[in-house]
Formats: sequence, structure tokens, C-alpha cells
Amino acid sequence: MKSPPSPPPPPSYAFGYRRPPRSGNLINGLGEREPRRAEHVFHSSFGSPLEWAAMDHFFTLINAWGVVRHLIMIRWALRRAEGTPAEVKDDLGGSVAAAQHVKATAQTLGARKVGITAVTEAAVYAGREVPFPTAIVLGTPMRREAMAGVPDDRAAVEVMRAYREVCNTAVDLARHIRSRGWNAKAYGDPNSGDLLHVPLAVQAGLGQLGKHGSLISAEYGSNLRLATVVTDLPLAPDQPVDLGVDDFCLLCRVCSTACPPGAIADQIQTVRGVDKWYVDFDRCIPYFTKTKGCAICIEACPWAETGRGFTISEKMLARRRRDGTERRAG
Amino acid sequence: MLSPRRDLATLRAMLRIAWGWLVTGGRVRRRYRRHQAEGTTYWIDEDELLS
Repeated sequence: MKSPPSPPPPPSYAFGYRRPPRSGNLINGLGEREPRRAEHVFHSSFGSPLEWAAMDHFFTLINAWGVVRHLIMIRWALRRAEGTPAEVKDDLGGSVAAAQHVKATAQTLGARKVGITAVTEAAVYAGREVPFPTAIVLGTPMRREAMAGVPDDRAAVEVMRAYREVCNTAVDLARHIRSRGWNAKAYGDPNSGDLLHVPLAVQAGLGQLGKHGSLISAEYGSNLRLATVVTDLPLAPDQPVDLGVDDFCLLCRVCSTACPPGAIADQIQTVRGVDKWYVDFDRCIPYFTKTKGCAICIEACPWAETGRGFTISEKMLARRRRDGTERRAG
Repeated sequence: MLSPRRDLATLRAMLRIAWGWLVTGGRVRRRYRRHQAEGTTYWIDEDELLS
């Protein structure tokens, strides 16, 4: 007989800062009405100074070797993130055909979700530059059976396995595009680099932002890890999708109730001039660190159940048509 | 494109991460576990963790 899942650990901590860093919510621009670019706070690749760097290192050091092993192998894969393109350019039959070609190639290489969009300022971290104008966003699902016991080491390793898989796909796709004579650079580091993958994924139609601050797709819910390839190859962009996620999250309380530190708000908030779902950084990150990656919210989310997302989406959109209402999170 | 110099630099960075996890991490994990068991606080030491 299957034993019931054990309750998650309480939000009490055997670690802390003597000199607390500046609030992550302040750095993230919670309550700010003016738009500005995001800043790195907790994770960052390749040595950016971080306000919460010590906790970021503590998080890595207390994590399982299986997690760190994937992180190291991602570093190895990313040595080929960029390179010199072939001398002769192949236009691949124009932007529409090229987009189809790139998507088919990405899927052959292992991506389960692919979308194309322009790199916007809002998706680039402050002080960073992205060299090419078009983003190809890739998604790879995590294995649900490995995520079932969140928060635990097995789930933490699975998260990093999915990151490594999608990173390898991004690196291979960038190499493929360069072999056709175009510039391409892969971003697959789970520690944030120059780009914010989630806003690009929303623009590219992979899904919508959920109340728990992660992308929700119809196929996988938030059981998805993202990587991005930026390129100068002209590609027809995709459009954002409306799955009814905003309507749903406004009514649903599953993740906000399940979150032990109470980091998930039930209301949309203003962040750097945009009204959207926002997770309280200062409550989330200590618990995320204590549990070595948490992920309770994305597993508790009703959209995470395989195949359920399409049904939920149909119901939400039908309800909106019937009621003639639309709730938007901005 | 092959680049032995880049590969070597990457390998060094990978070894640094692995060594850090093993040595500094081993020390941090032992102390943290002790604090957890005693119900006291492990103070995140920026000098130690970021050195």
C-alpha cells in the first residue's frame, strides 16, 4: 500500500544572515510603477556580484552531489554556446520556412516545446546585452514520478537533469544554426545569465505566467525547464497564447495554500511597472534554500497533472465566452 | 569549433566547482547539520562562502 506523502518541512530555519542583504522584493521592483530591467538577486552565472550571493553559494554547497554534477556538466556543454558561423548563409527558404525548420530541428534534438519571439528589453537583465534579436525558446519536461516527493533530493536532481537536457538541446540547436551561416548563441545555464527565459517563453507562446511565478503550459503545467537560443537568422515569430491561466489562477488557491512560507500572493501585483503575478522573494528563497529547490508550488498546481491542462484551458475559455468576462494579469 | 584552450579553462572551472562542493561544502554541510541537530543557527558567512 502506498504511504501518504509526508508533510513538507516547516518554514523555520537553522541558517541565517548576521548582516541581512537588501530585500529581494526591493531589488525585484515590487510596488514600483516605472518600468525598468530586472536585476540579478540570487542566482547568476559567471560571477556577477549578487546581493544574495552567500545564500546562493550555501544553497549549492548543501545540495546533493547529483545536482552539482549536472551543474558542472552544463558548464561543459555551454563552452560551445557560441562560435563562428559557416561562411555561406542559407536563408532556409524565408522566415516562415526557416521557423518551421528550426522548430523541427529543435524537436528532433529533444525539445518538447518550441516558440519564437523577438528579444525584448524586459527580457534582458540590467547591465547585460544580448547579441542577436530573435529568441528561440525551448522547453523540456521533468519526469513527474521523480518530482512526486517534492521537496526531496530526487526531485532536485530531476530539475537539474531537465535543465541539462534542455541546455544540451539549446547548444546543439545553436551549432546547427551556425552551420547554416547564421550567428546563434545558446543560453542554458539554470543560474540566470543575460536573459529571463519566462517572459520570452510567454511571448513565444509556450504558455502563460502562473500565480506561482512559473510558466504554465497546457501540456506540462510548470513541469518544464527552459533554455533559449538567440540568433540573427530571420524567423517568423509566434504569438502569445491565451489558455485562461489568469482566470484560473485568480480563482484557484492550491499553490498559495500549499506554499509553506506563504510566499504566493492571491492578487496580481505591480512589479517594475507591470501588473503581474509575483512571488515574495524574501519568503520564498530561504525556504527554497532549506529544501534544496522546493518546487512544491509547481507540483501542487492543478495544471501539472499530465493531460489536465487542455481540459482546464477549455473550461476556462468556455466560461469566459459564456460570462463575457476576461480577467487579465497584465 | 574545437578550442583546446577554452576546453581547458572550462575543465578548470568545473574542477573548481567540484572541489568547492567537496571541501568547503563538506565543512559547511557538517556544521549546518550540527546546527540543525542542536536547534541553533548556522550563520551564513560571506567571507567563507565567497572566498
